[in-house]
Amino acid sequence: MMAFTLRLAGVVLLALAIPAAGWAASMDALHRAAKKEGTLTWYSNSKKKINQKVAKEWKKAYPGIKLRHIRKGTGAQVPTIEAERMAKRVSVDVMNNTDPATFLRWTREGFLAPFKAPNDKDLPAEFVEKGHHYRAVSIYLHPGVYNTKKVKTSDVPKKLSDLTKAKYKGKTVSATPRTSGVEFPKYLTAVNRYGWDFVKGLAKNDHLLQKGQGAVLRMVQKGERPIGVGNTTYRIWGAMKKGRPLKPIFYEDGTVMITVNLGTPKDAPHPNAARLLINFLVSKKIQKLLVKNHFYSARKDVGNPPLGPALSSLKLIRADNEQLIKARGPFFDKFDSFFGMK
Amino acid sequence: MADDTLSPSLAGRLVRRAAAGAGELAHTLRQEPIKFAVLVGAALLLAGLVGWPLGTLFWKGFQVKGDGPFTLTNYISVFQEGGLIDALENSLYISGWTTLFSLLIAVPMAWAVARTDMPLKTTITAASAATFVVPSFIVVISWIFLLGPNEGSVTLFLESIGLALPFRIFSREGLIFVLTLHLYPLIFHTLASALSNMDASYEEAAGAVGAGKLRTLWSVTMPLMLPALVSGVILVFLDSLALFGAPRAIGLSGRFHVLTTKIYVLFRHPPRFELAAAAALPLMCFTVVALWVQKWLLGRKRFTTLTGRAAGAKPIELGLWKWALLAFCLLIAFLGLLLPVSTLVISSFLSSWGEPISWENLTLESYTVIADSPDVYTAVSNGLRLSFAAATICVLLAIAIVWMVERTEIPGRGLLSFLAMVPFAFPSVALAVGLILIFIHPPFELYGTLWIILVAYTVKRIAFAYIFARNALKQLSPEMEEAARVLGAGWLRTMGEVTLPLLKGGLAAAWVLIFSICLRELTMSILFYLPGTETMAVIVFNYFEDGTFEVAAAISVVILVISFASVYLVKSVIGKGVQEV
Repeated sequence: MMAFTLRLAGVVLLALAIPAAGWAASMDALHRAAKKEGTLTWYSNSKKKINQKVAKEWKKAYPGIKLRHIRKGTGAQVPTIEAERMAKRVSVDVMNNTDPATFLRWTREGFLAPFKAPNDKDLPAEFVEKGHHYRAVSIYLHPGVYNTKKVKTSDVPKKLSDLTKAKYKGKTVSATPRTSGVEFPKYLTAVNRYGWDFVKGLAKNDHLLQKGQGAVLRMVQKGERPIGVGNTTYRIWGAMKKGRPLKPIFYEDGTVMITVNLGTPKDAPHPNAARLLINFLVSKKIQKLLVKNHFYSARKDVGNPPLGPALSSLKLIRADNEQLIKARGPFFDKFDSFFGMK
Repeated sequence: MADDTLSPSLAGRLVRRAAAGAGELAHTLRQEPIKFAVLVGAALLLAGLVGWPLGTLFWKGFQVKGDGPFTLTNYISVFQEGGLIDALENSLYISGWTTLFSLLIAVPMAWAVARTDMPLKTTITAASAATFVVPSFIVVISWIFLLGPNEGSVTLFLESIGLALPFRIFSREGLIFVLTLHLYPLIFHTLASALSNMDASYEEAAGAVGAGKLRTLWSVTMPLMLPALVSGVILVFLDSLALFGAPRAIGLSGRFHVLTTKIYVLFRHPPRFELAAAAALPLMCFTVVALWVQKWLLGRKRFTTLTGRAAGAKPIELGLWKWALLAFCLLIAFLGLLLPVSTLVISSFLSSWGEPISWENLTLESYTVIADSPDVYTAVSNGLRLSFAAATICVLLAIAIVWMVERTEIPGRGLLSFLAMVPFAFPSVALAVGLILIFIHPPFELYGTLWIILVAYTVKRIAFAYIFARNALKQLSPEMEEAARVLGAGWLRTMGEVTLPLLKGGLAAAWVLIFSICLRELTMSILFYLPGTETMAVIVFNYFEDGTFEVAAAISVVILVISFASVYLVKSVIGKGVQEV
């Protein structure tokens, strides 16, 4: 009860402080309140190594506040949070994952707390939810990928729709949109452009489905299926840096872009520390760190990943969140039906 | 008319049995308060650990969005879900064939190891136990890369000598192949443990009247082993129904669903937990049917082969046949363990997995990464402590529950059997949600600690201990316990000095299996873990998902070595009994 009162007092004080003293003063107040909380929990879909690097910087910046970072992929993260919600006791303070539609749903269900993070102003408006319930902590591109030892340069598909041609029969692999957060926007936008014939064509071409991006990259790397219809750029470039025979395919007809969103539940156990972390994660320093580790940033002032072309040089496609929410169930069922899975 | 006469008699029987049971319970409370406390405490613990979370989850299934007014909509909509019947059919097809093939492999192996003079028995037993320790998602990946249609090492080798695989790895048959090699040890250990406990004089008597070895095996040994066989079959059948990782990896590529992968769909985008219990209903029905079949097959027959009068069993001499049997056992060990594990070991020494093996591509880097990662030490420590505790609790709890079921007339024994068995076939993800619902709130606020993982492991694996303990107790003649009681020993002393030492083999087998399975448990651990509560499988999975297959393979190898060392340690502490494991 005592802890709850302190927490409430912190948030109220902070709310009063913001309009009166401006961002700098409010951040100081936030820091003081967060320090009283002393700890916070962050579920992140990013690699553990990246989270550890961020945590190291956090420790330097906010030595008195212990950051408990947990790598939870979108597939494990969303059910965990939903189970906590059902039990009416949320233990997570900050979360980011690759499912933009879930963030939109959470906002509509009143699960997320609005927070106008000072650093939100450095993000283009399209990457911040209107009510500041969530914002993009990084950007994933989803180009194709191929094994350079198994596929000749002349045989690399130019367009996404090329993959339904007979020459690629038995050579392609992708994650299923049903279980991969980043795969659904890709297939949805492909169906928007080419209709269901695209999916039908892939299915007829002995296309192989996997559960997630990691599994797809392993298949391509091993050569079992030398062409991945799509994979996240940070995985591809990370593997290339290790000398793996892989290359991305930026299709002429466009590359899908997905935002990794970041927010805090309104009932987070450490609301002040949570807000402090959100602001910290979209700061220039941390965004630069993410860019160095092959992620694109929504910020304009931190450059591109080491192997990555400028976003402006690519034809990018972004799925509509409304459609992602509405089309989900029927889309999955129809997709599965083409692959003979009722 | 018949109904009129039967009903009162049935009702009367039930009332009489309940009254007798209640009387027995009251008598126990008066005469033996310690026995009463142990038995009632065990029953309450089982009800709290299993009944409470699963009951809560089921209740949510009757509420609108898990929190509203009473409704049957969730159950109706689950059974109207397209493809559920196909998934059910696939599950039955795959589990049926997996069970049959496991039986065909495990029976001769168990008999050879427990009753014959075949050489290398310890190696075969150890290989079979080790099959269980490697995280199953790693085993499946290894098989996919061994049998993959385009680049699989075995596929390419067979092609080079003009042969082809008789099935595709991405098919129901491929899944049956992988599951059989993964699950046959359940029948093997159940049976080997029971065979080792068997009084050899039955077989010797058959031999003395001129029965051949095969006839003795068929008409004497196997009928006496029926409880163990039935239990092993139930374990494999239910486990193959409840498995998720392998069916997910292979089924998705093979374009088919099984029940668990179909249920998993309900956990996604957005998760509909209120449907989980409803969707798991068929799996629970199978558990009930399995228990009923077991009861029907075994009935009130006596299977006591452990009478205290037997001398040590003399191994059956097989002559040249022992080499044929050894070749068969080694082939299974090669396929079940050596082939996938050697893929792991090789991968752990590669600097770039997927590239050909060459001196330039060999490195110790993955092991250096492990040595430099403090979280690996934490995970090893957590994994060992949790698995040790879960295996011990499961065995102790199972002893009390089984004793109550087999040796008393206390009412509600059937329910205890059901509670001990039902989590086994219950999907792990759904079970984890049930546990979160209960253990996130006071007074048992365990969520976020190692304790909830311990509870999860215990609940999920109590069935193993229950089945092994029940088999062992069925083999033990009650006369031995009665003799101790006549001589004035109390219940606790009889249990400690007569019952438990005689059940040691079966219980030790259960302990080691649970310990090994818990070491590699992933589905629930990945949902529960927080910093400091990582387990070994979680660490493997994280490296695996982060694209560093080499490090994931290296940690898997470490898990394997630790498991072997732990089993060896337990074996030297407990002595005989684990010999059969």
